[in-house]
Amino acid sequence: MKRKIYLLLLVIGTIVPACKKNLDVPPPNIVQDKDIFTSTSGIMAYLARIYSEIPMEDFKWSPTTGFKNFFYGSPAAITGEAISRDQQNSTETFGYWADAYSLIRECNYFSETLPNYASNFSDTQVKNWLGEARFIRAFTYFALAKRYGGVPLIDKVLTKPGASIDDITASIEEYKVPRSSEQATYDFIAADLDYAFANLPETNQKGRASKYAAAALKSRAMLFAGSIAKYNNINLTSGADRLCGIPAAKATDYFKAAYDAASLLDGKFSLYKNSWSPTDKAAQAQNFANLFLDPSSSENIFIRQYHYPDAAHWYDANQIPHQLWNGGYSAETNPTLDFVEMFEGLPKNADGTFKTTDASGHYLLYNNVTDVFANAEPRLKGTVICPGDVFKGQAIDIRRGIYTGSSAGGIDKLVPEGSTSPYPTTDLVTSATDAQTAYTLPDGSKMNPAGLSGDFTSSGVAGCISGFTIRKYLDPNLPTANVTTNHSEQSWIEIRYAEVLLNQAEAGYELFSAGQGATYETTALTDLNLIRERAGATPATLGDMTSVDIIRTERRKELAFENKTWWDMKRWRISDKEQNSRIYRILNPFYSATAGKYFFDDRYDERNSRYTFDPRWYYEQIPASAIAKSTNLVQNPGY
Amino acid sequence: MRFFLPRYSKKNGQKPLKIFLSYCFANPAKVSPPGASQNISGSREPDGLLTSAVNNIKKLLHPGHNRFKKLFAAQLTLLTGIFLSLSVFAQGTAAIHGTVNDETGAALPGVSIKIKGTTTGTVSDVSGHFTLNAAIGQTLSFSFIGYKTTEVAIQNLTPITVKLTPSSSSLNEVVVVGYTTQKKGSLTSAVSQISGSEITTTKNENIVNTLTGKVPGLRVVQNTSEPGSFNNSFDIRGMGSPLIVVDGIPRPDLARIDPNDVESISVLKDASAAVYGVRAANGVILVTTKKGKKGKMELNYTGTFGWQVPSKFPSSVNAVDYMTLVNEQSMHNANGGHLTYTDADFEAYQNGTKQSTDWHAATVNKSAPQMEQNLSASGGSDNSTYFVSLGMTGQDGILKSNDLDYKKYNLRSNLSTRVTKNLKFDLNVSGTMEEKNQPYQSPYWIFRSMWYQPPTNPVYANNNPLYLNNLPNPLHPVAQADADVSGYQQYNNKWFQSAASLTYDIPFVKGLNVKALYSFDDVINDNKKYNKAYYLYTYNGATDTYAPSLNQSPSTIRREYYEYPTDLARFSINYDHSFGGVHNVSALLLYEESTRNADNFYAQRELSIPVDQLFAGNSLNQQGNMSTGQLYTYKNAAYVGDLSYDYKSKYLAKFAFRYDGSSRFGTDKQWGFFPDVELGWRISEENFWKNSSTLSFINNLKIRGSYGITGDDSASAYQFEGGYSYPASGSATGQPPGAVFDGTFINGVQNKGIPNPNITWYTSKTFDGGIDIEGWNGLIDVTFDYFIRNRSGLLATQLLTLPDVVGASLPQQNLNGDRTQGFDFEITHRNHIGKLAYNVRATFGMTNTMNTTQVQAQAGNSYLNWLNGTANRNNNVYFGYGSSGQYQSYKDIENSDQFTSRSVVVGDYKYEDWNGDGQVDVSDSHPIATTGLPLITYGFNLGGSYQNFDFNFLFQGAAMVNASYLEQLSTPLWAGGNALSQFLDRWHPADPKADPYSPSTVWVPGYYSYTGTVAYTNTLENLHSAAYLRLKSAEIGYSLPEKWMGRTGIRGVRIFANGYNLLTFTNLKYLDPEHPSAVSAVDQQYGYAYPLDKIYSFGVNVKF
Repeated sequence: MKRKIYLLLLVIGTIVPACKKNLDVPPPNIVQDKDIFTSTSGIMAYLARIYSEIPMEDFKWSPTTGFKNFFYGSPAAITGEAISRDQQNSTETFGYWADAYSLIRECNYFSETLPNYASNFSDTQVKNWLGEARFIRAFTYFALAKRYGGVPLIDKVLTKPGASIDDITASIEEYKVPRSSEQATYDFIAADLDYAFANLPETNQKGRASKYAAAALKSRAMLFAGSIAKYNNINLTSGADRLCGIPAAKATDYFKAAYDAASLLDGKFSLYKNSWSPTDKAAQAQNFANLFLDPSSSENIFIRQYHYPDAAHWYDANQIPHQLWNGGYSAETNPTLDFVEMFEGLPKNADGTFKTTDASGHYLLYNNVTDVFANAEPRLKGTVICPGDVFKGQAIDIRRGIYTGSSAGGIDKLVPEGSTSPYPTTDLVTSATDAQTAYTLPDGSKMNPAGLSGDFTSSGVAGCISGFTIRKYLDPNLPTANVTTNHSEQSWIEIRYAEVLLNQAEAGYELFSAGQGATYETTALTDLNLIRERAGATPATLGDMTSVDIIRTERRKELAFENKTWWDMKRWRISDKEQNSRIYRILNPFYSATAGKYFFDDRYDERNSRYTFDPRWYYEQIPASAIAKSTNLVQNPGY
Repeated sequence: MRFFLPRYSKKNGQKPLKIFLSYCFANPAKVSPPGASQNISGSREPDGLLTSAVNNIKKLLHPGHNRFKKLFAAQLTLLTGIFLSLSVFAQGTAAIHGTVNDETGAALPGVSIKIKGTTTGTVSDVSGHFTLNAAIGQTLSFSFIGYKTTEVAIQNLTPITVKLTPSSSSLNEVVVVGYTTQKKGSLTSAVSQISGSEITTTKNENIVNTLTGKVPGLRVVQNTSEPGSFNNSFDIRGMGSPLIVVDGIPRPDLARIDPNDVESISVLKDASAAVYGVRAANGVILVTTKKGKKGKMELNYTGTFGWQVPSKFPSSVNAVDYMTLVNEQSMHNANGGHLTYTDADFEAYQNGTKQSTDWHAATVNKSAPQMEQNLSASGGSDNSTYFVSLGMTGQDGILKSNDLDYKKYNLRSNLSTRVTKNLKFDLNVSGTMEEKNQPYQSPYWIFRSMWYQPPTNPVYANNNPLYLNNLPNPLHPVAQADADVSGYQQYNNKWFQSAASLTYDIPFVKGLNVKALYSFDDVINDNKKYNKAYYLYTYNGATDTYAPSLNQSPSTIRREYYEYPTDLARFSINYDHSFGGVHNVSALLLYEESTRNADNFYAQRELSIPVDQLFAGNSLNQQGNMSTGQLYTYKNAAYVGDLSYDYKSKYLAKFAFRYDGSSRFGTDKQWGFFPDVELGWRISEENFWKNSSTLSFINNLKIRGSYGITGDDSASAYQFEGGYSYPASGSATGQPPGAVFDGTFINGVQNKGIPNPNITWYTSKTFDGGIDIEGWNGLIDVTFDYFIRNRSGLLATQLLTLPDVVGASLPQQNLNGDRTQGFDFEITHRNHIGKLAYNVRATFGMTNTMNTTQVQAQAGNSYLNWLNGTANRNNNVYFGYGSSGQYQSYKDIENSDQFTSRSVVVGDYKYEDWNGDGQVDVSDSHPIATTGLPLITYGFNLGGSYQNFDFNFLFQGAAMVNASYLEQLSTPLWAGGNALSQFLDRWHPADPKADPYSPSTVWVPGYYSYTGTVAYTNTLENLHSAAYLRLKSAEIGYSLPEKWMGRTGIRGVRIFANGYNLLTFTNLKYLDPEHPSAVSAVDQQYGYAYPLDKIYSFGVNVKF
């Protein structure tokens, strides 16, 4: 008995500790600077993070949801390049602000911390990495400047390391940094990119910045600044600082900076012509399409790579013509007729619009649906899928319906020119969905009323709605099973050499028209014709160089659907003129059952979806929450 | 189910539960499972019975499940020994006569009379007489509902007269109040306790649902009846998620406890929870499981079998209605509309050329079966007692594919042995294992697809059942619901809980004992997810071909393994003594430390061939990783003290404290002191009261109050530490967790931001004032409590005050505060009228929480400051627009006193121009409703018996609660999909082709606006009261007369019918009022959660 009591007391004695228990249990998945800045792989983990945060308008950009959110739709549908079932008239509404400064802090922290650990690495490594951080910071500031104008310029980590919460909150007033002028912001970007150019290597891993990426980005940013100086009419000042707008006198300086930065790439890069042939239009079209999918393209300057399954996108699922889809959405980008009409080689009326009827007002009839595009500019075919074009071995079947009325004596327009009315329901067989009932033609063969890729009349079915679907960036080798969310791996080409040439051409022409010398015009023409030659378009002559519009149009054709046009239209300050209660036009293919031929109807978007660009959108609204936290931030005009 | 049945084969198309149920129903003699039925039909000899029972338990545990087999092998051996050590005594007997009277001397018929320790017994007749054979020296036990069980020893053969007294006074009921127990009469805190028998009057697979309406202040909302999801929102007095303590050990899960195992559930609603320190701020639910009682072994079998029928499940429109609505939507365009569907399209459905698809009939059944069974044994000798119990639950879902089901097995063994006179050893062990099977897509997502698909889309391409139709988006409900087509998810969870303790009564000091306890628990979640690629087909009528598309490709198999071992060691010294019957003292001093761990990993591989095992996967793209959120070690340590004193049970006082430490904070912020002070005064014990003839009908009147401090460490792990998270968070759909350089993906590091080394728990200060009244010796019993809880140090970030340009957000700090206050009460009445004994209990609780201190930024103007300001405002305020009805005519639109856009049509909603400025905009937003759980909850329970019948009806309700819906529940044709039938009740032109913008159009009024107009989410047009009153449960039972049992060895049989959620009264039109909505506390499923159910069940309870 006694022994049991002793045993019990022994048990008690071991359980009850003499003093307070030590409760310091380290958290298992948190790493510190010393784990990051002491090895190359640690630095790579840091860089991987900040590269992943770069605000580029890539496959994952949607004007309404941001850079990083999953969406269905098409960003190209805000410029009028295309219409989309799931993207309406809009400007950017997601308010990129806080995320930008978070990335800027990470760049600054890297730049301040790496030198403390420099002994672990070679001088070149340190120099290159510092250049990358500065490149990313400049990219981020440019993303802010093109949206908001002048922004607060933060070039260091604002909170001291180890500062207590009380220290930080006591310094809040000091952190309420006001906006700098728009000019100062662009100068800051230029300085960062000069630093990056000086420190970055000639070449780098794919997906990372090189010295020429910095120069190319500088040409883009300076061209933007020059355009603002020249074309902007909005003024917002705070004290001595002009927050919105740059003095017109500065335009030449910025165009010159853009021109010079672009010139740094002369001879370093070339246009992609791997499968190009001077005589074969089909090869030229194929070459243009290949350019966006060839990872070894000589034209790529700065790209973002994707890799399944960790980092993939869903461009193909979003854009594939309906007949090649794998369930889900498809055909979100439907190029407008207004866009297609910019290209050469199409039947056109005197006013440059697409010609669909003969002199008597009857539809032009074609034996094959592809006939009408037979002579189209190769670059158009490399950019857009026209009805009947072959993709992944299939003729893309785009048809609005079968016309069953009489074709004797010609077919009159189904709805009057310029009408927004729906089509009549008589003499027309259409299909609401992709589960179609085949129509028996007079010869006994069967035909689906709508093409396998649409147009379907019910909005719930993902078919083509403009007569065209997108080809640029679409991967013809992706198995249909992988045409689904997060299986697309093609790289986003953020900067390619064609853009740099066009930057140089535009800056050069602007300098020429500002009286800076004829050599600028000659260079512009040379650049333009390099682009046109590769595109399979007619070369321009000096006589064609009547205004900057020739370069702008070339730029819109060349860089279409690369999410650059929105910013170009904004910096040229033409968005409000182009989009003023505008309905974009489409081209509907029909098959006449009695004639056994195709005809095309050009008309307004059947949804009557109107586009208006509010001029205040040239400067975006600074998020209200940002101003609430930092009350000396001046809001942009009109908000 | 697999324990009893051959492995389920898909070929016969039936699920185990179904097979089992049909087996049961086809053989009425074998209503219990084949395993258990052997107990009933097997040997009648007690020893044989025991052996049989043990063998059966062994059999039940045998197949395949080695983990559990080993786990319980030791227990079973022990149990067998105990069972076999019992014996039955036989003696010479004689007829004993007697009469039973009630407290007034009237004859009491129907009283159950038993010879203690045997199965022999009888029932008193109409005049209260009884006769039975017994031996001198034996003891008779008289029991009757509403009366105290009375025991009378047989001293001689003269007739016995027994007077029973009403048992309703609950003053001597023992209430579990934390580490100690108290008699209800001397309770000074707000603790509600209900017994196991009160719990089991409601039959549900989830014990939380059986508490609804029964405990004042306990708010329970059932979110779904999806098999295996056990999804409830419940709290005590609106205070947040409570701590669950089972048999003295904090444990994570309440829902899966077998109600048949529960002795009582005690709810600590006030500062008495302070003894649980940093985890007690939201109150504590204490579950005490049954222990063995000295005496002959009692075997108890309960089986319940039922059908679940969805409680309100919206239906969808047919093809003609769908096309009508689509045409209305496309006509609804101020720039010029058009008709999407032509007359020919309508004609095809009207003349039968095409068939409208009923996606509901293709996807779900109207009902699904379920069952629960429990077998327990308890008993004991002078030195040892035991309670062992085995339970099983099976539940099928309503998916037509039969691929949604759930099964659970639970075993509990509570043993107590006196090793020596002063040393007691207790061992409580329990194990639960469950398996949930579902299709790869979750049921809510399948329902979303089912509602979404337009009836113009056929299930099969070209109506050929070999080809599932490729639909406009990848939401094919029939494919998603079928595991054979699209794969499955299987969740296997196991709980093991154990506690061993030694209690030593110090021999020299009366009432002093020391106790050492060690507990080890483990939770294992083992999940298997098989994502199977499948083909859907598009039919091309022109070529008569089927074009395939591959969904969910590539096929993947994923295994996930989570483990949560915990342990707890405790040493306590207890003292309990009454000095001279005047000074009653009890004291407790305790040290406790516990560790909670979490660890996990998963592996995933892509499959080339359809074999659902990891080994069959490809090495390309294989993944092996873990969830860093489920990797932690938390330690707690605490000193607890409790001192209770009362003077003649008249003046009551209690002081308790916990000095508690938590590893979740920085070194200087780990320890805190949490005291609790309680005082009570039983006025009814004062002489003036006792002597007053006018007052003495109230036999108990007590006023009491408690005040204390508790803490909450739940939301703050490791924010005191800076650095980086690795890998960074991210997703394939958004920003990836890293970047790709030269074709290789590199994981990134994510800065954790600025740390806060000073972060600590939040602190609750709780006051409760209560009054207990008992009148007429328990005829009426009233308890009323008022409470107020002030919390401070709630975590909040000063995010709003740190400018964005800093680029980092401040960490959470202990900044905010709130106040929860309210009241609850309970009124009980027990009585009998002749043979009808009944009891009535009403419960009511109201609570509201208001933010007190709230950090926030200044907004641009005073209106925005008011709008965004949350300080000193109820925390569940919902802002939106009020309603001013709908436009009744074009004239109404023209004459509107507010701005109307050119797109407005007749029937559109008029939002309230709250500030009267002639337009409705953001500045008209004002509080229009409350969000979250109901602020008022109440219940009304009526139970009783008449002769061999018993009944129980529980009405339960909630008020001040709202529902608001999203997606398809608020918008017909949402995202190009179908419409729910409710949206046919709408404003629309009498002529379906009429232009809605033509002033000559004639309109038909309806509840909703014209198709295409959707009520703003934040308006009273889209938000409705979800207040309700429902008959939560109704049970009618019949106990077979004992004489029917004869000498079968069966002591009693009760059969019963039970209904759950039978009747509901609510103004909410289309969904069950408890069903989650956008403004209820929990809704991660956009309002598509698996529906709540009504359960119609019957069952049997057999005692041996």
